Amino acid sequence: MNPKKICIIMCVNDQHMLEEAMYYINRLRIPEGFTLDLLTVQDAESITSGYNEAMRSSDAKYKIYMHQDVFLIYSDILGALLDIFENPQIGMIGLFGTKKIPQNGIFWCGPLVGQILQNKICDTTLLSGSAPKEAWEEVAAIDGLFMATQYDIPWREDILNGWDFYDISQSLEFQNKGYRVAVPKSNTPWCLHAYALNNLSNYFGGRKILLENYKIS
Amino acid sequence: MTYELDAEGIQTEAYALDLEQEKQQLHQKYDSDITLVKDLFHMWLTTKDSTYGNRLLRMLANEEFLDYCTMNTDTAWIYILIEAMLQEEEQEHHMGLLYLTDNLPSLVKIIQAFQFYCWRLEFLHDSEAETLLYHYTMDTPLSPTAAALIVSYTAYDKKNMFMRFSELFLAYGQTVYAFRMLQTASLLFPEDREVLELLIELCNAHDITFSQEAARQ
Repeated sequence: MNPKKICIIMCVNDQHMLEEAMYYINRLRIPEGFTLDLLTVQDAESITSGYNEAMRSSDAKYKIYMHQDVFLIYSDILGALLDIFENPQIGMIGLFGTKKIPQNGIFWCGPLVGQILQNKICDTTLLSGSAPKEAWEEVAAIDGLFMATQYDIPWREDILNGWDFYDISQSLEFQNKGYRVAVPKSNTPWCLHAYALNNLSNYFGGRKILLENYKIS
Repeated sequence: MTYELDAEGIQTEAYALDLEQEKQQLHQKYDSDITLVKDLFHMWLTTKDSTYGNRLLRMLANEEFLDYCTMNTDTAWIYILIEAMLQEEEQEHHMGLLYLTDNLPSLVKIIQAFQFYCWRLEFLHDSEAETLLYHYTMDTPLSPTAAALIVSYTAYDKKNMFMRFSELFLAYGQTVYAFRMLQTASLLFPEDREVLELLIELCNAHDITFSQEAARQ
């Protein structure tokens, strides 16, 4: 494992979107002594299988799993993440999280933390929850649009074979291994989630799988 | 979208089941109409026959169905494209967007390319994006009305972006575009003195030129 390498991982099915996401990635400030890699998985069967494939093929200690339509607008984001990861207890960082996973498993029904910009085709708005008071705030789960890790823990492709609830599942996997999950304090949003309309066609099936496999109290 | 964080009961299983049932009912009620909207829009783009546009308008007059359309990626795009085309017809007596291409995916790509430059300008303060956006608008071509409407769907800090775009188009001598940006801003921010003053200043300074260009458009 290379402790001086960061790898951004994306499951991709739209080249146009990937190129634009890369425009922002290419403008990020890379902390001194670090290298930045980009790994894309084309037309993955599921997000968990795509992420596992990429995770296993990268030797970077730090990995950022993000959606192809996320544009990183804060150029110092990598340095900010590494500062938080200096705490070895923190396994994973997201830009938007929930303090408590609701008993029904629906992320958005919980007490939200952090801020992001999102465009839902008809408008671009700020989605914000409470702001962390310190440099970071511990959360129960983070949103899958952006998930940065400093340890490799397999994604649960054995139970989740779609595109929903992998984020809550992975947050719980990290906590089950004794790590903490965090959302950083930010004065301005660090990303824009473009075209963030949810396809809910398999959402409720995924919810049942989550509740069957994890104890959420 | 707003989330009622304090609402009682939204974290319960009963709420999740209600939500699932509501989604299923909407699917059952409207999924065939969603397919019809896509088909009609496709026919409109390929034949340019306004009969299809009028049928779409009648369908989208149903508020519940319109809300449902804006939650579905393809139909959300169709909705904003129809809105932009109608405004083009009203302001410029010509639906420019309708004649750019004959299919939705490539029309979406055309709009997205403009949006990408907008976001680069707004969030990366990329001065090169300004020139690229100007030339892209002229070369495509996007009408003043379409360009202004796309900015309203895209920008987060709308007022400042409209003023910036107005200045940009004015610098290239495109007074109709500059005017349309400020006019759209004044509709969104009717109480805003700064926008109104700029609009009056523009009209006073370019009265003759503007009338000629408006006639030509």
